[in-house]
Amino acid sequence: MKSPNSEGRTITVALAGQPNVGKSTVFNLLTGLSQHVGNWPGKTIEQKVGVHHHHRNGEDLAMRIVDLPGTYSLTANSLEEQIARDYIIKERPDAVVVIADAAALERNLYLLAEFLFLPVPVVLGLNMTDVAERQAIRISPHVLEAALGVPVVPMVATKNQGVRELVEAVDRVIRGAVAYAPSRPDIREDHRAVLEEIRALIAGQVPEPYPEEWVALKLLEGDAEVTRMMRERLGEGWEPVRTVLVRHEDAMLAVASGRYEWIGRMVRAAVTRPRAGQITLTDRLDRVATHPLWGLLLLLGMLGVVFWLTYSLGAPLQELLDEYLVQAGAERVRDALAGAPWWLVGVLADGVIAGAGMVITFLPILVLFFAVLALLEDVGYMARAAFVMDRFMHLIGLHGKSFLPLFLGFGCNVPAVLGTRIIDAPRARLLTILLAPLVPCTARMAVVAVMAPIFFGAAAPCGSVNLIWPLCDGLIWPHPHQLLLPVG
Amino acid sequence: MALTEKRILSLGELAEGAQARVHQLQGGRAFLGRMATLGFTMGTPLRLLQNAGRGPVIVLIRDTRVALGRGEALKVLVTLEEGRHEEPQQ
Repeated sequence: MKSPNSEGRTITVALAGQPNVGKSTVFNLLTGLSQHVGNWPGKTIEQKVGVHHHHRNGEDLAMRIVDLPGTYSLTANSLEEQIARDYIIKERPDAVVVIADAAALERNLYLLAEFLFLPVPVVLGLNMTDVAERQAIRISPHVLEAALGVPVVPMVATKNQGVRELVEAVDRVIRGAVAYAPSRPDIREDHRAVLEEIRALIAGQVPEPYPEEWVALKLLEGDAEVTRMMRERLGEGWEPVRTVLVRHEDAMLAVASGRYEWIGRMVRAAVTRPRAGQITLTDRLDRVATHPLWGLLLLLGMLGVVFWLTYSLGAPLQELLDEYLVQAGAERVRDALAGAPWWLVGVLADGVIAGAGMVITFLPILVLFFAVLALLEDVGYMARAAFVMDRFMHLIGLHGKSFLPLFLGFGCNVPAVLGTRIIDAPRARLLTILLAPLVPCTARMAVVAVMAPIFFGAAAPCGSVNLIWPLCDGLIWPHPHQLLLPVG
Repeated sequence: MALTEKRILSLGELAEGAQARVHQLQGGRAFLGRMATLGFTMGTPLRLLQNAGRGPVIVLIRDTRVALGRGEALKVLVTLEEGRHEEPQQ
């Protein structure tokens, strides 16, 4: 056993969870300002690491907290999922905390079910128990804990409840103070023999540090990454494995069903829920927000409010910054360098300060725009917007999801291109990346406003709409190629 | 009146408010894998929340609202839950 910390060894805890379960809130509560944001090595996905100081009997225990990307499962369907599981398998943290949304427990336990096959102890943080209670879903953490064989800690992270208990549970697991013997899901009965067959074929051939049983499951699930690894490893021996896999192409459904059956057994005693069919507030809001007509009008209204807020609050701030920071700064430099050569004054006052200062004045607008968007994202509206826009985006060969990065482009094109990561299909992703720079960002909008009257005279509004808004044309004419030619 | 035999439809053909169970997924490996992860396994009960007749649909399954594009919705076959079927509006 690893001896915990007293000799200065740092404990590493990975934080995992499906998207939108409050994982970031937990991470922020644990690490506070001690965060380091970077990228996963060689990947364009954000990596957040921080340190949490846990006080155990007056002793200070430093825990390194690694925030894994939010994922629904651990099959390499996406870069996020691959990163999350590679980290667990190769870096072997001391423990994994899986944060789950108590109001959608079954779906969230799916990720937990995957972690149980990896050689790292798991603690389940049952978050948003207040939301579950409001929906009359009652969960008994002790019963769930007994069924799962995994420590379960109820929490409301937004109110800072349960976070300390979570850390204590992690500490106990790492110290070995509690027996860790998780129950694990089986593959659906009709495929058990196939799983055994695969295991026998790969026995002794699985490279370190991959667990054999896990590799067998992933092969059956059709995981591309594991399949490639084993094909290379086995060489000649791959053929029989391939034959079995081809014969059981639907095995992934058996694996997934097996997990959900297991989840059903786990929650049966621990969770009581209200009769289905109640109309919730979300249902009522969705009636409007996702309606083909009202949803579209609401979306237009929302966009109007976003831009109105951004510019009505941001523009005065921009002017203030320009006046008191840029112009006053340039003035001061001119005064201070009264005797200096003209070119030096020019470089500093007109170049550095006026030029770089100009960029700084865009800051309030960008901050406001992204703050409002983050708010809409957090309340779940952006997903509805993508839903409403799906039909229109299909006209130009895209997907509703493309709407989000494109809209982000109104703030700045760089995050717009970065944000295309959420689009699964490579072709749609590429098209969105190519389209994103055509969306006028806040800075470009300002330039167009100045230039349009010079070129188009009285027809300026019309001209600028055509210049900066080729997307509109795309929505009207459903041929992608016309999109790429700005109509002037 | 309750229907005597089970009707098999695609999600795209289901009326709003209808309750059904997943019967079969038709598609490639990647599609099957993704849908299974999301909880679309055989026999799982679901309720169709939003279906405008074209464009994407919203399904409530395992406590979560899942939006599916029309193409995806047509690849999910379901059996209608008897006696629960509400006639489509209009």
